Amino acid sequence: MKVWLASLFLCALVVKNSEGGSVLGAPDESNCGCQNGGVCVSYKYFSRIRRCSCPRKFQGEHCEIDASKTCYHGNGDSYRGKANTDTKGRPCLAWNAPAVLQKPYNAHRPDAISLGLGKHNYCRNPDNQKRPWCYVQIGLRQFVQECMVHDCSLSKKPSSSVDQQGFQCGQKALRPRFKIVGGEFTEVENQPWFAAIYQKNKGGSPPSFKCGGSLISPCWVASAAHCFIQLPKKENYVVYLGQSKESSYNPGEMKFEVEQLILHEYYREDSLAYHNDIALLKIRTSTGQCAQPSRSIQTICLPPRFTDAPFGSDCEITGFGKESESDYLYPKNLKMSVVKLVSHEQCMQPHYYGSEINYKMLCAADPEWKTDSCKGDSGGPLICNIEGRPTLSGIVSWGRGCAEKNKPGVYTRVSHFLDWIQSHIGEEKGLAF
Amino acid sequence: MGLPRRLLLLLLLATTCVPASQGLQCMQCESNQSCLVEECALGQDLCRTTVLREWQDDRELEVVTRGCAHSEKTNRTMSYRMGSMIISLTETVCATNLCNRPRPGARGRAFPQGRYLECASCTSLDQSCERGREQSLQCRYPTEHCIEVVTLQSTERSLKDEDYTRGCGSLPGCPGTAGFHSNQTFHFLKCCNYTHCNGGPVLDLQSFPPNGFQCYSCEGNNTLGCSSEEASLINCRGPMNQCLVATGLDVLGNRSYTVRGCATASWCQGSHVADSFPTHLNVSVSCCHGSGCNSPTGGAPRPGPAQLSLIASLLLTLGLWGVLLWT
Repeated sequence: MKVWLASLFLCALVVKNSEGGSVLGAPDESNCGCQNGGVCVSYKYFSRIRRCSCPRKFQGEHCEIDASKTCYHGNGDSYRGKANTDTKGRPCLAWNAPAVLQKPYNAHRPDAISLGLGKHNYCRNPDNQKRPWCYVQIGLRQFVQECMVHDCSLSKKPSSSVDQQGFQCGQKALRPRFKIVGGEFTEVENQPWFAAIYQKNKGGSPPSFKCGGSLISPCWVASAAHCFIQLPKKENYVVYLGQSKESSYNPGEMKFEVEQLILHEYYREDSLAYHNDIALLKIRTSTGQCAQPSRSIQTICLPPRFTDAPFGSDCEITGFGKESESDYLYPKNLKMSVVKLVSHEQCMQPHYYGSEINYKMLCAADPEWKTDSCKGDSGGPLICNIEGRPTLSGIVSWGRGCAEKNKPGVYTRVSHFLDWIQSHIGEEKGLAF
Repeated sequence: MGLPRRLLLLLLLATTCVPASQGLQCMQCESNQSCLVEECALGQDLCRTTVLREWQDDRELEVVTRGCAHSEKTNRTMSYRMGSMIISLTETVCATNLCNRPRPGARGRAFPQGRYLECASCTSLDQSCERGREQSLQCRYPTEHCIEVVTLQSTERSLKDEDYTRGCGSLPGCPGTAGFHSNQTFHFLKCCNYTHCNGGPVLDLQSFPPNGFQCYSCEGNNTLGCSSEEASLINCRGPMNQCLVATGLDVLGNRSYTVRGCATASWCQGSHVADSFPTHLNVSVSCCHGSGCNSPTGGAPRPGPAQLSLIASLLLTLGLWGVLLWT
């Protein structure tokens, strides 16, 4: 009798164990282990295979490789770039190479992902040595070798390749207002991408406000070419971010020199209109840094290529400019208004602007012609919501008068200049689409 | 003196117990190459090897997983473009013990410049399907067709299948079309074999006109989501003129899940439903042709959880009796 009961018990154990096997598989369903904002993708026709779809500049099975990193900080234990040769230029062995799998540090360690090891041959510092290293095949054996990658702090010239980390384009510290009529004073926290561009004066007098701009990536401000065409030298300008009041100190403001000033090569002036009226300013602090995110400094999103908000949409304009054309003194406060996009068909009507308008421009106006961008607002942003994100849709360019009936403000259409922007800034510099 | 004899008997019995519960055995490997031998569950009669590859500029990435598969799984491939990247998936199945174990020295081949069919390719991950920014992709195998896979589900899921994928592939039902829709879900597969035949605007359910049939629609279990009060009659669209009921048990075998809706005849055959129920086993599918014929109350009753538990108990008892008799 005991024997039978014992055998029954054993069989029950066997059955239970096989069930346990199934249970262990279940929790795996919900986890891809994507890093750096990668999106986990599954495929219904392919069993239990998942992949991480990586954001721009990240690669690898878990988006763990940061292709933009060209130097390391500290001892490089957090380095995740793509350097893959030793100091003599010999190629590294992959961390999952058969010979390396016999070594203590390899791609199949349980903690490989957190150490940066994987199906690649990029240099890492998994064991807290003094700098990144890799295994190198020399003759029949593999040796630990330090890598050809430099310490960021030893860079001779200031590095302008600040990544997008910390910036979240289009985000505001304040809840967005809506339906502002007639233009109201606003704090820069409501328009944290607004850049104030000043022209330096000779003889030591303080610089004077020249134009607005928009921070489109940590290192770059977009503005209007017509602001700079008279005096196209970068040394003539200084850029402030985080300003609510012009020409006075604002807590949170940052001052930048212009490292590069790029005007569109096909910029042209007609009797009234400006064409290809776009400029890029590369900014740098006196200590060689690009912009840092804060409550009053943030990037603005760029629109999808050739995509704009529908005509009739409400958009925001911001600037330090005049309230009316006859104002003698510019007000010192940042102002924000809401205008509606006007269709090209409408804007090309003879009693509007006729043939002065082309498809690389956008028109926007207050339906009651009470608010508009005006002199001094040039270069500033026209912000429209596209796919739920505040987006730099236009750059203040030209117009006849200010808030004059049937004469909308005219803006450079940013969605038609993305290739030009990209050709100068480059994708690796953290453009926020 | 009696103790050694009993011990021997126990060992013998323990050995005898094992075969009674033995099903197919497959290698079970996750992407990090850790492998175990897995005993397949009821209804899983195949071993599978699933390979994902990405090619981009100078880089290649390969991920392999292995495990058990449901008995209707077939060999299949799919490739598509995303920006400058080509993503390729292949799955192969076999039916003997441990037949999906890794073979040393087996090397993934480089992406060949195929000379077969040329297809439109895009994906929802970069919105290239939705924005009409298709690229061209040449297929790698002569058996591949141009495909469009649609997976639209309103319910939030932890894993995200891409809404739209176009590219090359050999999938169940190729060539031809297969589709299913309920109130909450729209699955569609279009599979054709001439150049760029999978181009054009993305398919959505509204692009199919109502076809005059009505079926019950629900997703959930028999008490929540798919009870007789919750199932609603919907108008079927396009070629989806059959009424479908599908029921599956989750991996623990104690929670059933039911889906009702409209389907093409081809969706009812083949493995589409099992493929859409990745966390469920023993998916049973039935389709009928007549408005409202997949009602939760009408038609032949399906085995409920209790009945399935009873069946499982009977099987276990028979197994035990067999062991006892054998001994």
